[in-house]
Amino acid sequence: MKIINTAAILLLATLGAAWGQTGKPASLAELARYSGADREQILVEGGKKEGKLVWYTSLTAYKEIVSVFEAKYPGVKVETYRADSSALMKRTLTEAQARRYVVDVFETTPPPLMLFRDQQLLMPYTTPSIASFPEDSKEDAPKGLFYWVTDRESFVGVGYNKNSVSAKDVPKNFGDLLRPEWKGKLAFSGTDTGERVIGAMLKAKGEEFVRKLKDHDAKLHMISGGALNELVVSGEVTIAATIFRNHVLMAIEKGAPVAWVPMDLVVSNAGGAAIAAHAPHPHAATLFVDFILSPQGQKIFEEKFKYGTPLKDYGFKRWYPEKGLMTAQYEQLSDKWRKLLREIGRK
Amino acid sequence: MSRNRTATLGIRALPRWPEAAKDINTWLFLLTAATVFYLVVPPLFFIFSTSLISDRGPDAGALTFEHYLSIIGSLSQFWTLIWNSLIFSLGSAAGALLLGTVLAWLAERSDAPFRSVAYVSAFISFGIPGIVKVIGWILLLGPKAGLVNVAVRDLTGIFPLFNLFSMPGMILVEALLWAPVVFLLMAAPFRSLDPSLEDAAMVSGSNSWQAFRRVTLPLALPSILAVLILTFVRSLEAFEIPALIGLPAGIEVLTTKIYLQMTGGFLPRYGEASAYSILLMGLVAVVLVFYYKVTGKSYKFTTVTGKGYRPRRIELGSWRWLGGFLLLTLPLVQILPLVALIWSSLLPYLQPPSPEAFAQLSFANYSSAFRDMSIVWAILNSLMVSLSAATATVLLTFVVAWLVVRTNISSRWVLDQVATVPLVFPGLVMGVAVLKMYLTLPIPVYGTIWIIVLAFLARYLPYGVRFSYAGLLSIHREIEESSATCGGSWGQTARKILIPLMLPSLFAGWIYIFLITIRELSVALLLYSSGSQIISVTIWELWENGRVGELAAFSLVITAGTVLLAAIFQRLSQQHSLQV
Repeated sequence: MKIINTAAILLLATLGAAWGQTGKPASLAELARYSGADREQILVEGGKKEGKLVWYTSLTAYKEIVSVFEAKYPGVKVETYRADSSALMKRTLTEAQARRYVVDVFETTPPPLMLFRDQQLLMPYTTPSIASFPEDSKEDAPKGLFYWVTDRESFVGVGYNKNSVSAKDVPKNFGDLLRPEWKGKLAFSGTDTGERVIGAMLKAKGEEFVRKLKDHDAKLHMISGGALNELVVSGEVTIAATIFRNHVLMAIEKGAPVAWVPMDLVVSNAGGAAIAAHAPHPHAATLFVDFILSPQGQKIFEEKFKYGTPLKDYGFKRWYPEKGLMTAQYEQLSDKWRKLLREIGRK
Repeated sequence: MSRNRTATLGIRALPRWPEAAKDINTWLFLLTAATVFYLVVPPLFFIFSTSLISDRGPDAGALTFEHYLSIIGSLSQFWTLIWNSLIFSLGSAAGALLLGTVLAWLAERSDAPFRSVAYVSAFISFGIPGIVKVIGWILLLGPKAGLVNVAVRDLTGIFPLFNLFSMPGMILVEALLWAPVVFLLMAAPFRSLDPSLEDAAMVSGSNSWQAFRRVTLPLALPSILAVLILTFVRSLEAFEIPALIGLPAGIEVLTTKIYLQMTGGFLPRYGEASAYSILLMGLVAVVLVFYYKVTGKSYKFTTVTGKGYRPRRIELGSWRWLGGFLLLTLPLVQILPLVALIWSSLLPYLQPPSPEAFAQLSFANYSSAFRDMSIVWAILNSLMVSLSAATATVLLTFVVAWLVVRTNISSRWVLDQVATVPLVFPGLVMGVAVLKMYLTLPIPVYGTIWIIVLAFLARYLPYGVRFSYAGLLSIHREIEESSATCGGSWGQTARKILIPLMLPSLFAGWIYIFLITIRELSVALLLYSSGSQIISVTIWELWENGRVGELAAFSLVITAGTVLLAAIFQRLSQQHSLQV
């Protein structure tokens, strides 16, 4: 029985290899790096046969992306698992340990992607629109391919309530935050967003500056940047250093009295799109990543959800805290930032 | 000879359960123990081994005590942390116990008005996600823009009246969070209390208060202690309130210090999380040993006996309206944050009441919260998960509680200990443990809602057990023994006597688990899949995104739905319960 199985596998493998030689990409690795003019056509045909793909993402705007994709490519369904990047990472690593390969495509922040890369869970790829993306937004893999490409960015800066802060007092840089009028009024999110802002302050102003925030009676709120923005909107928090630009733009659209200003360095939370190394639906997976990075996909992120795109300059200095670091190095740094952040909040 | 012996022992003689029944008990015990062990031991083993194995660096995989050392080492301001934790836990447990017990007595034993209102509001409180309630309280009592604080300033000039971001604020919100649980847990023993005992006290010249203090309270002591243990351990372990309300005030407790340390970094620190929960398990074990000592002779405290009686409510006389007023505090403290929520659900963005705000009121948040069909699937999945988890937990824990309280099987305490252990499982670690277990075992639940049901069943065992104890401890075994004497089998006794008598407390446990699992997140977030999305994940998404208006709208509709369901189930349970 075992022999027959082995023989069958060998036969299939030979047939597969023979088919591969005709020039049509067949395996996931071949599809991901294929750049022929018929790429989309091959992917659509194969994707329809596969019927679906499984997408793990920490993106909040996932439903809209999925519905536009499914309308454009009828017959390819997207099954989404949406969780924050830490839960997404735990789930993926646990599945990989048990060799249960379910996921086709990831869209999440760099820390999990770095870890997946280190554990060979990502398939290097290229995509038709790759030329329009700047160097900083691509994670290089061998042979001119990429592990992931940044598909959306959210920028972290200072948000304030316009009813309690007059236009002439608005801080223009980190230094302004230490002015006496903000004593006891400046808030930080205690999540990783807060840590990364501390990292930006360290880089721009040094440790002495960060320690001064403690005497400045800065407040630590253990809620996400989005939730902290709601407290700024309601007036409970006057000014906060860990506010996302896209959240403020959405709130302004509804008429809320809030505004956002960039500081010396603007932390960019970049989300990258990646293909899983063991994707069970290779055609659909590659097709979906192509779509996210296409001008059409990028437009949804920017116009509907006010994310930033790496394709544009917004007139302030972006900073990618994890850029160029190994997982362990970044972990060490973020531990340091977290300790400083907690120290600020302690009375 | 045997007649002689019975005669000498008099009323203290406890008739022996027939030999055949003893055999059945042994089998039942083995079966139950196997089920409980299957649910609890694999995650426990995972947590234990993770706490002892190095998970990073060159020594990864080696045996280590570094996680324990790191916890002890991180407690640099050890005494401040312990002190803060104790004040917070004791304060909230005492507050919840006092409020919940007094209200339960008023609702069950007195003729105070508004008794049913208190029940409805207890259910409402479980339907609202904790995080949503905290937001409600911040909207009400925030020191800068809280609605109550602003209103008081406009009326009296005092500002702020109450600063929520403080230790009293933390205790207030945590105690109010647990008071409804205490209320439901304590209602059962009070309901089935033999009024002849109170009558005896009154006849001997006591007033209502003295009867309550000298008779009712001591009788309810085992139940009160069981509840106290639950609330104390839960507050000691509570994370949401200390993090959301304590940290902005600069107040740290053990959990905020340790949990933040282990969940803060971007790589999960299972090791420290597990070491911490092992330490908590030790603490709970000590508390349980103490509890056994106190309640060891549980027949002393039984309140429902085989003697016939009619329950009668105590007349409070001129105090009646004070009682009614107290009963209204429960709905009031639930409704206050709800009002803040309703207000924010009708607005495009959060703002204090003003003519402009009133001009902007609309139902836009409601239509956008329910705009797509996936929400409907999430609701159906959640209903399925919570109905199954609540039913399975209550059935299993009823048997566990019966075995522990009623039989003489010498190792029955192990069952109790094991079933209580999940109380201190950290949600995220538990999620990973269950995930690992069903990725390895050839049981096809991965990717379905059933993996969530199994995880919930394990996680809420301790609650089911406490609710069952609360009911069972108050029922004298002589009732079961008369049934056995009359030839009733164990099954018949359970079906026709025990379960109907205990139905109110079983139902309270069921509804509690049902409502709390509807919004459980930390375990569910790791275990759900595309086809098995549930509503707690939706609520969390809205919150992370800062869409408070939609979040409020969605939670309000879900709350209304679950409370309606709870009311229907309660009506059903009343129809089938035995009126004693």
